[in-house]
Amino acid sequence: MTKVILIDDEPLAREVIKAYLKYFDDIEVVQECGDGFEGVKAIQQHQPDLIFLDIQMPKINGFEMLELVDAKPSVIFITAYDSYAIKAFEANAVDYLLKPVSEQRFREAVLKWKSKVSPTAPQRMESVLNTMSATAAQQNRIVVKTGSKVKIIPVHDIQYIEADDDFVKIHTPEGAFLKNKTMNFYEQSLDPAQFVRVHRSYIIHINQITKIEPYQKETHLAILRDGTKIAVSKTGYVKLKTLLGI
Amino acid sequence: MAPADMDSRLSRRIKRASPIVGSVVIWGCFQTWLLNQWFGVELNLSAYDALISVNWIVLSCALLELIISRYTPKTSKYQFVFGLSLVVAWSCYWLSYQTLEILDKLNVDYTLFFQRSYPIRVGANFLIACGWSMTLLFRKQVKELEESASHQVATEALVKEAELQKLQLQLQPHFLFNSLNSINALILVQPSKAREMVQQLSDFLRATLRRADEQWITLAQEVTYLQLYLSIEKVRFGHRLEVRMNLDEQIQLWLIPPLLLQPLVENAIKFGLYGTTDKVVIDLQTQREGDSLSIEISNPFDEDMQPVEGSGFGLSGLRRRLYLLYSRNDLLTIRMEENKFIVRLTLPEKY
Repeated sequence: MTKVILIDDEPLAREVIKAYLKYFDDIEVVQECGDGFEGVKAIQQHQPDLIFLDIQMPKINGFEMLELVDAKPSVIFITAYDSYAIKAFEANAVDYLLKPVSEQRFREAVLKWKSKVSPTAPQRMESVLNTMSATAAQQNRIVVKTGSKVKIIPVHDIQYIEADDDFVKIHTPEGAFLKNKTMNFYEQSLDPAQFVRVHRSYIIHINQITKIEPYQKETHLAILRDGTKIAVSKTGYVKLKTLLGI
Repeated sequence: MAPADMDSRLSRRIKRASPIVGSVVIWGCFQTWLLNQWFGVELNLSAYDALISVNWIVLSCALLELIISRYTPKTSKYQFVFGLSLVVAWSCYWLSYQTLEILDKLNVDYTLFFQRSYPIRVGANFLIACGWSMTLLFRKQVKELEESASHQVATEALVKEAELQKLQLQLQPHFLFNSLNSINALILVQPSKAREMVQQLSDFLRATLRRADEQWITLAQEVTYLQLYLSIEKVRFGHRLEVRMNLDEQIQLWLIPPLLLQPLVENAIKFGLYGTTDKVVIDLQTQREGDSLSIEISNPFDEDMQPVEGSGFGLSGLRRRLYLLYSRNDLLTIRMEENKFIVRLTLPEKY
């Protein structure tokens, strides 16, 4: 039996999917969720094979929700959005359906998924998510998970980002949060007028800097408002100088 | 045409022509006097000479007006006018001579005198022709300037109107597609409700299209339209959405620009519904405040939330519309208090 979760904030939209799924005997809807938080919990609890996901939902959107899920199931997006996002899907061959969805189109999507459940799928998903959440970060927030809670960090609250093995640590006045992303990702997606990669392991928010001191040889130290000292490499110092106009 | 109108047109023409006729008469008399008193030509002949010269210069000036009104070159128009005046000056001299000869007024003495006064005659003719052409040219340029100015005003008005129309008709496509999706679902689970919603959606769309052509509608009409919209949103989010209206009965007939309230409420709903997972209460309040109408719309707001820009608060279009309609930037204000996001619209009175 294939386990499926529906995540959409409109009950009627879930109603359609449920009705369409009756056609498939081997698919079972294990849970319906009205927002992304419920979605994250339900996915962790049930480990579904496939989820149907809306994009615009309360609090966190569909993309942000997926970022918070560690073991990502296959996803079929169902959305009324017909914007640039859709192009990203097409390029990455992940299926998506536009509301209102016809039953035939819906069946095609499910059958396509069934025939294509292959090891390459999650990677593709990852690249879609990178494209999509890059734009989300360019917007103005980052969604992280702390224990079972979800935290939304406004970009302007970020003090600095630190490399931490395969993760990055996002430092804010409320503490540090781990996120399963790369330094390169944030270097590219954050506003370059506000965030500088000063070192292989550090990206800092420039309005946090109070002082820059020379350190060893050609390196420097940036002192942040809360007293944290951050290493600045030679190239990082050059970038910082041009940005601050000194 | 009414006789009075004709009279006024005639009097206007007389008024405009009189200085010209006056100058012509004075010039004729002056030439007669000059020839008679200065050069000792007999009065009769002086008058003939003056009459003929003036006659040709007046005709030439009329010709000049004809030419200049039809055609002036884009570049070097002064050279053009200058050359034209030279030609005219010489032609007038030659024509006057020929005319006098044909009329048999030229004796040997006078022929000689006429020919010897050649530079003065041509010079005077040239000055008159040149002055006249310059006046015409100047008038033409002033007229063109006025025309282009009024053309610009008309163009600006058109652009403004087009922009207003565009801003008004910013119907949210997501709303439409999501509603169709809900109808799709209702057909499966509650067919009668689906029919009802099709009706509501049609009414709403029809009203939207109709509104787009109207400049002003009453507040009551806008509220009715708003209720149509809300009835659809209730089907989609019924379990989470509550809208409370507190309307001032006194001002129901005040005129406001159409499609102003609905986008505001739509924003509040979107912002409210996507900003929190709880139940959402939207408050709408209309009130008279002195000479103006105030509308306040509030939605719950979670301070921890950082709204995603773009999908967030698209009030800029509305601001622009208000500016185009009222030439004011202070009619829309936003404030946050006690977990509420409040948009306040103040519209000057208009009946």
